[in-house]
Amino acid sequence: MSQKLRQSDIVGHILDAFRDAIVRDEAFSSAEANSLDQQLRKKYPPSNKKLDEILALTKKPQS
Amino acid sequence: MIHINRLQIEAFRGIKKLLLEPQGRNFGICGPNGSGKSAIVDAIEFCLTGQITRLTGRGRGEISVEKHAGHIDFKSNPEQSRVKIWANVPSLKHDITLSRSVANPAVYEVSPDLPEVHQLIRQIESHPEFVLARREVEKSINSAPGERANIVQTLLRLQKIGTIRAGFNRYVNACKSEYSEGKRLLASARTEFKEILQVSELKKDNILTVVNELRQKLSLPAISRITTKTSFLGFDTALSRSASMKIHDPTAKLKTLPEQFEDFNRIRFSLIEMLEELLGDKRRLAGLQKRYYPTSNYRPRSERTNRKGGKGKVSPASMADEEFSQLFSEITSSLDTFRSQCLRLQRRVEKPTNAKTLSVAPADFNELIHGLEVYLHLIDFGRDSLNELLGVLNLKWMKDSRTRTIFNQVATTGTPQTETNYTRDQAVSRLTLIQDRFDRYTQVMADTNAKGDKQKKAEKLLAHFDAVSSNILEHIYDEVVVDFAEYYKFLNGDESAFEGKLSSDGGRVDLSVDFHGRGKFPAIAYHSEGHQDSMGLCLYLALTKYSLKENFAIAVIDDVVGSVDISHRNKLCRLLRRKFPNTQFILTTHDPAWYHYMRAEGLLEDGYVFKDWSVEDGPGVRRDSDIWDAIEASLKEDDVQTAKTLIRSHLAHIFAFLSDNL
Repeated sequence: MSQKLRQSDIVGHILDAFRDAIVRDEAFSSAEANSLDQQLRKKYPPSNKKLDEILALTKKPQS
Repeated sequence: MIHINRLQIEAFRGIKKLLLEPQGRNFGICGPNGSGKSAIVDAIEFCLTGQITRLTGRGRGEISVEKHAGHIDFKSNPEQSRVKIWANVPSLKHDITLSRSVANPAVYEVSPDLPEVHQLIRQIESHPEFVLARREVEKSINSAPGERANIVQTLLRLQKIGTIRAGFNRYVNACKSEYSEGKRLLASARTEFKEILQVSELKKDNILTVVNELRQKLSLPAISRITTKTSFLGFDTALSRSASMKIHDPTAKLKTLPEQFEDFNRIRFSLIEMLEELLGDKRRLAGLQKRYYPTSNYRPRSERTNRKGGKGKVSPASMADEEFSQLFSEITSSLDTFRSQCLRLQRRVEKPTNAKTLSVAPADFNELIHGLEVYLHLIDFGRDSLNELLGVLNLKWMKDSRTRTIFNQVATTGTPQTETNYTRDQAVSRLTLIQDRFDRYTQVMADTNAKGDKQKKAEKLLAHFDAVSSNILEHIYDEVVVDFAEYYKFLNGDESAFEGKLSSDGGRVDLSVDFHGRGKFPAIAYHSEGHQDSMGLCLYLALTKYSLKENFAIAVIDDVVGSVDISHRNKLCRLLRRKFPNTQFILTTHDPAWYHYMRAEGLLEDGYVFKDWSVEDGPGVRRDSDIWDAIEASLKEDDVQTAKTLIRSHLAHIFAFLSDNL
């Protein structure tokens, strides 16, 4: 967990741990993890559309 | 946090005007239902936070603080509906005054106007949990784990966690819904593809068999592999679709059909003219009849009959003159040429076309050809024979304008009107449909797979969030539950081995508690309602203590402790006094006995008795400084019943108190 956050910031702790977990998961890129983290700290919860954008899932699927 | 010294209420809820002066001490409000007790709770919450929990939340619909917090007689003047608090702030070591008007609940007036005071107000605004109502206590124990998670997270000021989780959960559900719809569309596309292929199973070999049969009809090479880019109408699957329609055209020869028909007609008309002319020329006809001279191939019937099997030659000398010889040669030559033309045309119609849909069929030529052959064999230039010959040269189909039109049509369009064309075009049409459904099937499959991947990703997001939040929350819960168990054991001495466990699982918070050393069970499983109520209160105190820590300076508890029985009341009073010596408790109750018990126990250092509420005047309020004053006041008002109740309950508390302290 990030040492930058105060111990009392429980939500901050959780968001830090969440971002770390996403980064460790190969299914997600670090760009996705960072973008998701920023969104969660800026506005929560992100809209479904925003999550689609973050996870690069709005692209047309390749045939 | 703060301690309230004075509370001034004007035109708020059911109160017209009221001033309470607890001076930072614990105080109680006792009164029957509908006497205005909860209005005091609302007023404190409103002044400190701008909100009133009772007027917001689920099921409150159009109810709002702005519209409904003011006194009903002041609806048109909400700015006159105000609450003001004079308070001491231990952390700042000085007093403040804070006020709000219902007209604009979000805006407060505070004095002194210092940054640290504003920071304090913002902190209080974000901690509405200092108000606890009975329904929250019940819910924290009785509610489903999902709802309990909301209550617990609200008390711990962790609503963000629930909100974020709800967002991810919503996203997962949306993804599931999309994927489910995708699978439905894929099943439909698969069925349509199978239907056009007329196969029971969608296997590569099945598809190739159908496609290659059709390609064979179009003289296209077989294909051996299928990819999403396969063109079933193309030569090479690697070629693009636009380059795919280079198909051998077996109808090319038909393009000369109109010309051949023209030649056929030209010779036919020439023959007709010649024969009609001959029929009209008696001299020449007679001369030919008289002098006909059969060639080796064409012998007159009479001669053939007379000289059976013979090959005798007719002497040229028998010809009357050169004119008849030339005419004879011209006619027989024309008939021969025409016969050849007929045969060619017949073959064109027959090969490669089988002109089922033409008005002329190969068989139609038979009559003509047969007539020509008969005449050429039996030529005698008799009138009947010539008329018969003219008849076969003027058959209906030859004169029908549709025959020419159809020949032209066949030549220019290579139309599907012939059976061969029909088969070919059927193949093209079917392959086009197969391609269309194959493209749709592969597209829907790609879309659906993408939706499946998206769902998996969404589920991973939620799973990661649940895992990390549960892990961190459980550490917090482990701390909370220590206090929870301690408070509960303090209240219930017969459960010295009591333990609790708060466990987080995704959006759930499960509360399991020990039941007399028999194991841990859900809180509502075996414990009585009274025990469950005290568990709820203990959980609230433990969570609020964790959340506010040293700032847990005020707690407004609205009619919460009514279900605590007499044997546990003194312990509750002592718990609040001993464990929270710096917290100002404001407690309401409808039970005078319980109220006086708290007074006797010293938990309530001050008190107010509410009664006789009316819309116009609000509650009748009497400051309750001493029980005997209250009894005397009741007697002065000739209210013997109240005085009697007060004496009885007070004596009961006194003796219980004395007994407890023996």
